[in-house]
Amino acid sequence: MEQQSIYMVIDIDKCWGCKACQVACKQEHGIPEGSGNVDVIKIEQRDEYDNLHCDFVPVLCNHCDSPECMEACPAGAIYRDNEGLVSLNRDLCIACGACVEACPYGCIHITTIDGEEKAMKCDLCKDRRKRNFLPSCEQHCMGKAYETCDKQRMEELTKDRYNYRIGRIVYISRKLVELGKNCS
Amino acid sequence: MIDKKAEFAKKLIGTKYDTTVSQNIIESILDGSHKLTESKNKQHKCVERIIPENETVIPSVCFSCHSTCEVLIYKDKNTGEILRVEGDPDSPQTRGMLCPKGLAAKQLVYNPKRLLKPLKRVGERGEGKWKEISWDEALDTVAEKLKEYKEKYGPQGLAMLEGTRRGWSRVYTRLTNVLQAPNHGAAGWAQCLWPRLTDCNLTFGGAQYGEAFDFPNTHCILAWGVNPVTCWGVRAADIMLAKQRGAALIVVDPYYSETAAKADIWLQVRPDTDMALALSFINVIISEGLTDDDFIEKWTYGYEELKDHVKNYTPEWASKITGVDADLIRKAARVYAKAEAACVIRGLALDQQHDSVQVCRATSILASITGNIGKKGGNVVVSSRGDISQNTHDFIKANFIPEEIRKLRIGYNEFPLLTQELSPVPVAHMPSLWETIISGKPYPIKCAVIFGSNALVSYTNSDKVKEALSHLEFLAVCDIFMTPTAEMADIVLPASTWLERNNVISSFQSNNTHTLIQQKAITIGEAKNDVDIIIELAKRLGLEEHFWENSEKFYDYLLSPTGYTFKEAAAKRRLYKPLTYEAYKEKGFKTPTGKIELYSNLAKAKGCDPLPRYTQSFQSYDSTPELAKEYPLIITTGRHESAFRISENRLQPYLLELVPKPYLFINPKTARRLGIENGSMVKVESTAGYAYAYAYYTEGLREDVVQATSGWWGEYNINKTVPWGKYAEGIGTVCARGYLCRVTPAEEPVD
Repeated sequence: MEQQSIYMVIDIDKCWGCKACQVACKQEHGIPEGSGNVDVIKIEQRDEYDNLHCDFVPVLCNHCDSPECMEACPAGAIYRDNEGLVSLNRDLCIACGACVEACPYGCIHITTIDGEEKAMKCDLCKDRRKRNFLPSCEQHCMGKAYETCDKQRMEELTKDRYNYRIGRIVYISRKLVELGKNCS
Repeated sequence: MIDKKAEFAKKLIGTKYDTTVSQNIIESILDGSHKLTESKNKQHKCVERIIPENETVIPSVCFSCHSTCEVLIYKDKNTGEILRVEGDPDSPQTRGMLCPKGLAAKQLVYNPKRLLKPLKRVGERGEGKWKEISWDEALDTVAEKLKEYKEKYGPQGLAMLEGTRRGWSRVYTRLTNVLQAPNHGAAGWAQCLWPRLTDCNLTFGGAQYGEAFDFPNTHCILAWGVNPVTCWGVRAADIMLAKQRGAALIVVDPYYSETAAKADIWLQVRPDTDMALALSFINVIISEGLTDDDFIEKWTYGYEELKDHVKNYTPEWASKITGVDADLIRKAARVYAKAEAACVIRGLALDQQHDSVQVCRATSILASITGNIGKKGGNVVVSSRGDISQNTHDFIKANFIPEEIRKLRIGYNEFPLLTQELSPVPVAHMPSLWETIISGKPYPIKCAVIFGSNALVSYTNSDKVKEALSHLEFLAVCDIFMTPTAEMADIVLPASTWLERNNVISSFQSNNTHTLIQQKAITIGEAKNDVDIIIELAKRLGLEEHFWENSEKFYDYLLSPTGYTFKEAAAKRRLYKPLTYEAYKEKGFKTPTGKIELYSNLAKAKGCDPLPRYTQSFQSYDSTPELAKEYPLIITTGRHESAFRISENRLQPYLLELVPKPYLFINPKTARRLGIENGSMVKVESTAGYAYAYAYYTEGLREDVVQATSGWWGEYNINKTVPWGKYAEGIGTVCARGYLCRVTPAEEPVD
């Protein structure tokens, strides 16, 4: 049975840059230190009027509408699941690294969990959600910048905001005029 | 991987910013039309969360810092192993959030570098040769030494020191007081929180208005020298919610911090000149008639003197000193004063300036003349939930030390606001105490017992502290890890972490409305709760009549007025009492005049300025121009990271990877002029000493200012560069936020 499609809205204006999500994610999935599923990127820059700005952008798997990792995987380990997410079956993964090369956003990586060195990526904490928990990044966020939701809520949250999505991750902001405009 | 992520993030956000939302908030406050809105946040859904069958959950409270966030500790039912530490989604305080330190707590409790048994030194001091001993032998030795040195040199010959509390601090203070040892001290006391609390004692008569915030109802938050994201997570969470409701955020910080980056108005003050800024705020508010005259008339004392005192402290005058544009000062002052209710949150930056208590007083005066004290949405004093407070002179038995011995306390006459009755905990002046240990003057101090302090790192002028420690004949250190300080000890006692102990947590720092219950989740090695260690020491010193049988009885005692035992309270999770607005209408203010003392009679009686006055920094271009030629940059050690608390947390891999190196934040223009590349090693030198760091380019600092992070161990310890010699009036604060330094390219230091 097809489950309801899921989205995650990320309000960049609300990210404090504390990086709790990075640690929360690693703890949840047993990922050792090193590459993780999510990283918060700090961008300090001047605008056209020479005013200083500093933003923090959580970057995690976009669950793309056209996932290049899925295309690249020779083992068929990456697939679209019944929530519309780009999922990874670690049992099928041969750790060849093709997906790592293919992902334009650096959001899939090879890591050792329970002694197995294989690909790893965000699944929006599928297991937690089944148990009525929020994804660990979303629950622990100091700024409540993350929100998993259905399509209707996603549309409501993006309505009067600058917004951008490639897949199931939807970035929103009330100040970033060019949000996503330079992504092609 | 991270490069691709960074590239995507940069492309994603672009370079054009729309600041309409922020401008509208500011303009609507100025024209009186400002309204708070309901946040669009998702409402908390009450769904039953399913715990995996093989797991049990222990609700507790994180004590990785003073924020004390409620957590759930997940354990394996069969093995008893801790599997995860998470935020508690049902916590009314945190709503589920938890910062990196709490989330990495499993790496704290199971850290392979933990101390698990008491140790006795068998080699030379500091050589690192140890023998494992029993708790009985360890405690007997410490007690014997305390008795021996007290006998030989008098109670003043003992240094009873402590650090960041793990829920035991005031119990240790009580022990030192009933032992009649006057030289109790900590790295923090003239440097952290105490200046703010002493201000509250002087200004409000003990009510901690300056430290309690009604964020849910505020229209404007003035964050002065504080970046809660890195050090006070619950407050950052509250501030973000307030922003969602449309509250304005004004931030005073020399650095474009995470909080400054979210501000509607950022005042980039030159370090250690906040007094000038605060006085000019008061000047604007009074001269433009933005005061709450009714409140001033009924509830404050000394307004006419204040009015006269600040008349020359104009924004133009302050602008020259602080580097902040005069019109921006005016705008910020107007927004703060015109907001229907505004709330000041202050941080360590004020505590650590050369005029610590006085600059804190200036911000309290600001809140008072605008009528934001006790008001909904302002600074509101936190009500007691009925449990016994440890933060009273009664609890710590401050007067158990005879007056003639109290007067022997190091710094007694010079720093009355720290060492005498107006101090939240009357204690010794630590820089002077370390110098006493070295010189033996005015009397010998040869024995020290340190609970929970990595003194070699956490005190300023650390090389001097090291010299002092090596002058001791006996040193006992109680800590979680073998710190550089513990390495200098004769006896090392293994303390448990917060996951291994119960506690009753009632603190305005954690929560305005709840007393929280921390519950033991596990036992590791022979590590013990400090409270039990202190009680055991008290028994061996013949002082058991002042204590409880053990820590469990102590927690029952703390809760006794509420009618709950610890177990009953733990089952309830937390005790609740809502904020009371305008509490002063019933009780007044416990100052000599019964009002808020803008003009402080208590300060005056102690020989301190009754009104906060601008004075120059101890070291600056203006006050020490010759020195500035040799040391041309202003340094502040003000950077904190969400991964660390002061000198802690460098041993957890998840945390260290968030901030892998000790950085010196520096403007790229300054760095290039000095031949310093981004990420390269630099040497920071001052009149006190030197330390190393990695350059971190940021345009968020003025070109004449650099910023370091304190707490790194060894050669990277920036506290080695913080000079002594001049101290804040009355309290003896060392200025760590604005002294002079030189920065040069360097090779990696050899350990």
